[in-house]
Amino acid sequence: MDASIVRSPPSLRTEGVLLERDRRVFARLPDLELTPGRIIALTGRSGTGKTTALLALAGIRAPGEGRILIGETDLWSLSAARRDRLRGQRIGLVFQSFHLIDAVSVEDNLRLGAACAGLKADPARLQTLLETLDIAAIRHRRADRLSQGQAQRVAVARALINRPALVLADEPTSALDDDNARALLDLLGRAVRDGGAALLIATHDRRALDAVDASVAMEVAA
Amino acid sequence: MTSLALAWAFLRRRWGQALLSVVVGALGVAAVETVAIAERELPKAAERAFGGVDMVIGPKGSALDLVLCCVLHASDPRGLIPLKEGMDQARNPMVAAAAPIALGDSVRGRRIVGTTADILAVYHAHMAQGAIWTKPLQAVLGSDAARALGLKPGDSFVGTHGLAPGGEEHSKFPYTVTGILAPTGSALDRLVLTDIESVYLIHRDPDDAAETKAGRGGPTGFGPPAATAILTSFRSPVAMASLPRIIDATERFSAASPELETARLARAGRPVIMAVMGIGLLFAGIAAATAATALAAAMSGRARDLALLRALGAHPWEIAGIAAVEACLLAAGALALGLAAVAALGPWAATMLAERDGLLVTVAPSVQDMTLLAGGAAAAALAAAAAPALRAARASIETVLKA
Repeated sequence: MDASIVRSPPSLRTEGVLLERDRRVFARLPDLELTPGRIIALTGRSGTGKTTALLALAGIRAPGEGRILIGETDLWSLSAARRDRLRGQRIGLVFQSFHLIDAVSVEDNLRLGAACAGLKADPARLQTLLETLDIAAIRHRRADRLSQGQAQRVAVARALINRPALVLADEPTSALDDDNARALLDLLGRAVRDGGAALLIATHDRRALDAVDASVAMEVAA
Repeated sequence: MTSLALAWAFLRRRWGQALLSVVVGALGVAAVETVAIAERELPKAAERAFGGVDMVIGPKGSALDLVLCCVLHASDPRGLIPLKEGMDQARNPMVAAAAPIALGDSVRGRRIVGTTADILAVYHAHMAQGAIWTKPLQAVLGSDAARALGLKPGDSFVGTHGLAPGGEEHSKFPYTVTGILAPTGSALDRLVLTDIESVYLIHRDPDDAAETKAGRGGPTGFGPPAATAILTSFRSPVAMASLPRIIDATERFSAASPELETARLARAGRPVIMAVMGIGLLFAGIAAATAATALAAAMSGRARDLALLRALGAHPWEIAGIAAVEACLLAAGALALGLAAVAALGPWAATMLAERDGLLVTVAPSVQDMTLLAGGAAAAALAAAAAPALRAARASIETVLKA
């Protein structure tokens, strides 16, 4: 593990996480400690388990072995419902395809980010995100009527609405041209640092690797 | 953002499918409610239409026909009875009032009924304007008949032959209106009453009729030989137990109780009512199935959204709740539209029943009906939502993240 990424107090800490596919261990996640404001890339070729690792870190797919701590909480010691809630409240997710709820407006997508986590969206936080990410003018536009760039920004805003301790982004730049990729990485970096969160990007995109503080590579299990 | 707001947004996004579910459901609600109203209101309306008539004495034949023809005035006469003997049957201490009726003519669809002044006692009716007739070819109008015909005391009109519109006019024998009855809520309100002599006068040989009209004949000389029926009211309900049986035992007469015949008709019509109710429930069932199919299709098409909501922290039950809320919104829409249709068409149906059959019916959903329908709609909605909701609750988040 890269010693430079160790900060205190950590937003995320992992210990001996092994990932399984078809009940067989196929990859190992290097032990991590992410402190607020840090941006780390999780690298590896396709099929090396980056997305599976993110699923484990998000509390969605159980690791074969190991511990994942969000703050002081052992994620996989919680019940499924509490794990869902913790994910909603402490972890922001940015998907490769943004995955907004098309039927509702930009603003309602952000509100849903809070409501699903059992929280009420803080109006000041909502306004700040809308302005910071330059989507205030389209706050009432339905999500399926957004351009790709607008949808990206809305997805980032939704991931940050609950002031998460950790933001996980899965291949966020893979489908973007250079300009849009750079813009997204700048946006994510600024938003995460301003919000005091840590960011872990699963990627094998060279452009993303240039924008992070450090990177760790997935390890193939022996 | 609440589940309600989200469910509403999802419904709006596939409004065509939602509208279809609502319309089919509304048809079911309207059919079930119409049957419920008919079952509740028609017997009451029939009872009101009977007025004070407890028993009808008529020729041998169907008792139900007798009631339909001579009490509800909804069918044609089946025969005649000799007036004197008929009145003799009604001459009994248990009978409070009796009046013969002779049918045959009409005026613009309103029946002209030849009778005696005793009919007012049978129906507990009284004059609102003018006075009862004192000689043939004078008429007293029921309240609805006066309104429909636009006649008042002093006006004249001519009857037409037969009870259906389009008969030959008896233009040589115009009637003069002498009075109008106060409303009774019974079939009497739709009738045009006249002395029974008038009916026979008009249908007798033209020369004889002219004699009578000129006052040279007189009622004793031209006493009407027959009547369509005798209407009676009892002093006590006890009479119902014995008098009809005594009359039925005679060779020439039969007696019919409007109340008993209506009950019998209701029993006979029960399978029809149940069939219509069944059709209504079938519509409601189809609506629930349509809603379930639509919901299942919608949930399937929205698997990504639902899994995403879980990824954002929503509890599986909250996801299931969205499906349930969607189904309940569809059910509420169907309920509202169905009841609105009944409420909108009710006055029209009530007018038609009053005009055609003389039945005064209140066609409006009752609070009890609405409560039962709301409960049924909610149950159907939840049943329809169950499978899609469970599927939604089990939506895979992994699928979304890997997409």
